[in-house]
Amino acid sequence: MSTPLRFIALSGLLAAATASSLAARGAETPANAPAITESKVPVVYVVPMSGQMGTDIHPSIYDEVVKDVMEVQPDVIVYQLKSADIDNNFYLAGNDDRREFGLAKIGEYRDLVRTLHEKLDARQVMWVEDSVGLGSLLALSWPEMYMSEGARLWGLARVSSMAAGWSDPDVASKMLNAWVGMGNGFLQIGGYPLEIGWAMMRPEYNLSASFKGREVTWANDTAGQWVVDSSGDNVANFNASLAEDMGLSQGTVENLDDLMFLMGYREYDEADSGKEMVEKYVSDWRRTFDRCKTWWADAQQKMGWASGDDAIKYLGSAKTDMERILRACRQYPAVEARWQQDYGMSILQLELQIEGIKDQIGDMRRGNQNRGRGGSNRGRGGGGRGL
Amino acid sequence: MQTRFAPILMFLFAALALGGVASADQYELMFDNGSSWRGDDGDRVEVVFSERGVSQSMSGVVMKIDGRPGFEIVFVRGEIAGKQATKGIFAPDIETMTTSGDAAGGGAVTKAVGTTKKPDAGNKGGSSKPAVTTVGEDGILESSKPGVFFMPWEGPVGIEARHDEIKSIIAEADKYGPGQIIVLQINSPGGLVIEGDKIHETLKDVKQRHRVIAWIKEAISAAAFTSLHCDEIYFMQVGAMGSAVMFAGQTAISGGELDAWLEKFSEVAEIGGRDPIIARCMVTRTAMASYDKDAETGKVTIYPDMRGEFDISDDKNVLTLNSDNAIDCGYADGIANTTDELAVLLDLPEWHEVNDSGRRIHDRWQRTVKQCRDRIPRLQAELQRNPERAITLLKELLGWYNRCYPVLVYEMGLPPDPDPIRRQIEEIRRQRGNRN
Repeated sequence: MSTPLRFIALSGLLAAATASSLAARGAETPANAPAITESKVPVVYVVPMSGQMGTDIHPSIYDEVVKDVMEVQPDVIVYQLKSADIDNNFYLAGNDDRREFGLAKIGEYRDLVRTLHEKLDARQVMWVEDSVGLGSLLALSWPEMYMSEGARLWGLARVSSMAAGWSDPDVASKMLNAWVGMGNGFLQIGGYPLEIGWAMMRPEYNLSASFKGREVTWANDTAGQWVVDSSGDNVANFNASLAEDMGLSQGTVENLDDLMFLMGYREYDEADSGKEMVEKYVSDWRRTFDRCKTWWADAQQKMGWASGDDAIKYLGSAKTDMERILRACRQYPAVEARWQQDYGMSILQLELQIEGIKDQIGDMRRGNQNRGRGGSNRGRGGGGRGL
Repeated sequence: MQTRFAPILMFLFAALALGGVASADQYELMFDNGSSWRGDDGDRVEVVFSERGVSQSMSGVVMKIDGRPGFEIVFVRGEIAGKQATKGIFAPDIETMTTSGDAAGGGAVTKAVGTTKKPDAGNKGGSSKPAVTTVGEDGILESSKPGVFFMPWEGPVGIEARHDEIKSIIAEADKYGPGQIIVLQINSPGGLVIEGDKIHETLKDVKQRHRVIAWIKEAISAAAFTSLHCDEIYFMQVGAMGSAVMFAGQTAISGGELDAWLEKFSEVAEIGGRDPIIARCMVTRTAMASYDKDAETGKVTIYPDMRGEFDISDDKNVLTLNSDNAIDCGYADGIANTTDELAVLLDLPEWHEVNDSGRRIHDRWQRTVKQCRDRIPRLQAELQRNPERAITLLKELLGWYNRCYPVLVYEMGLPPDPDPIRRQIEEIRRQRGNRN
């Protein structure tokens, strides 16, 4: 089940670690790292969170991952986050679909984070390869975070934009603070102070930090020793180096080897079943969604052909196409979300359409039967006239 | 010949069983909790059913059973409010139905019922023995182990999270005498003011005899109002509570209305033993709060302005508390992410639910809401497609008014008074009568 991956070229890795800005810290053994004398090679389970929030990164797939993790019982779980909603998703071959923007449901992610924290009994680490948008709430839900070189921790203005559209200042403030409060719940479970959340979610809040020894105190003003955000128009954002300098990120890494080394593991085995599951899920739902588009076009065409003697045949075939779409929506919430987004149809509306076609077919069949009976009656009538 | 008929007969039996009908006049109904009833028109029955989430019982004679499988309506003639009347009860609402004189249904339960705890996702197991519930001489139930009456309270207030369910769990706790612990796990974005009024009266009353706990995942607006009544408030780490601005349409209330709401919110905070200054910041943007905290004693002094060392809310924001600031200013009593952690905070030796009635009450109503949301659009579509079935369908719609009023009226926007539907049924009948 697990693919062993060990530090074969330790010198190369060390060079990479040295190149990273946190090399000096990496050379130390972190306090929470296991004793080096342990004979067992630790198992790391990587959970990818890649792509669009709301579709690719969807709680439904992580239910299965959680079960798998519980079976594998790794020593370390690494959540590998790569989600930049505002960008071209270059990492998803051929997919740059801005229509998925905004499909994420914050409550579902809150439950996902709680589940991962509570059900999984292993050291859990967040590795941000890139995060712009609601993914940053996930990033900040784990106290131990590492970032890739050039990674962004951006885009939480998205949370406050959910409350847009209210003109009354009290109602607007209610909505805004309700959303920001819910957003801050993620930072709270990650152990980050509320001040960071307010500055990252609300443009009018500033952010600065003061240092006393290793302790950082955050404030929503510009009076601290280090001003992160002095603008009243933009939210605070962090890139990898700033996050590391401010102590949000524990270090900047290039790859998993690098990450594991910074965490104090000189060698490890990687369980890659989670990666496979998530990657398969993403390619499956996307392929299924593409099929749905074809089925829909087919169904429309067949409905257009449904007249005359072939009406029942084509309606039946269109119904089958739509039932396929329905099954796909039921199987993949991501397909359901996209279907709703692109075609404006919920599962219920699909079901109603299918029922409508069934009724139409039923009516036609009854009509045919009646016509048939009518024919025989007319025949008998004819016989009567012969008397 | 016999051999050739056998498969056909088997098919017929299977079809009959699936259709829920045993013979022309004999019915078999399967209920959600796994129990079933088989009988005929004219049978005398005892029915326990849920109406608007409240458990009720009735005895009478089965007049007829109508409707499609899964949505049958059982018409029972019996005594209602001192008068003989026929009541239509939706099969999905029925908890038990027994023919009078049934061996299974007859006889009163006189002995204790064993209960076991039902761990939730947050409870990572436990090795303790199951508790036993006994009936005291005074008829009061007693659990062998200290525990809680736990109920999730989720969704929009007044639609999914209702006063009725709170009343039901209180009624269950009352069976065990005063001094019970009722835990409401709150996860709601807020909702209807009218529901808040009912909740207010009920929680004010129940606090006289039980210990009521709010365990908060999300308590926004009306849900914050509900939570503030409770004797103790615990946050999940992800929790949020506040933003209780009352508004109609697009506009927040103001003037005398706002003053009254501020006063009520303050009163509620005080009922729960909390400072009203902070509560007021949840209601209006312009209210302020800050506090000082004694470094040694931890005593918190709250100010209605920004003079304190720690800010709670300035005059530009409506307040939503998270776990950190709620704990620090003394508005919350602790943080618990799991039921085990909550048990420690409640000073219980372990997490134990006296019974699963709260979960069942919650599940039952959530199921009804789900069925309603699913059924009503279909019903409307059927009405369009099959106008000849209008009477049956409209009668079913009337039935849903009885079962799931809040979804129909507050969520789907159907008229609050179903009387026009009754009239429409009569009108259709009259027209059909005229045609014939």
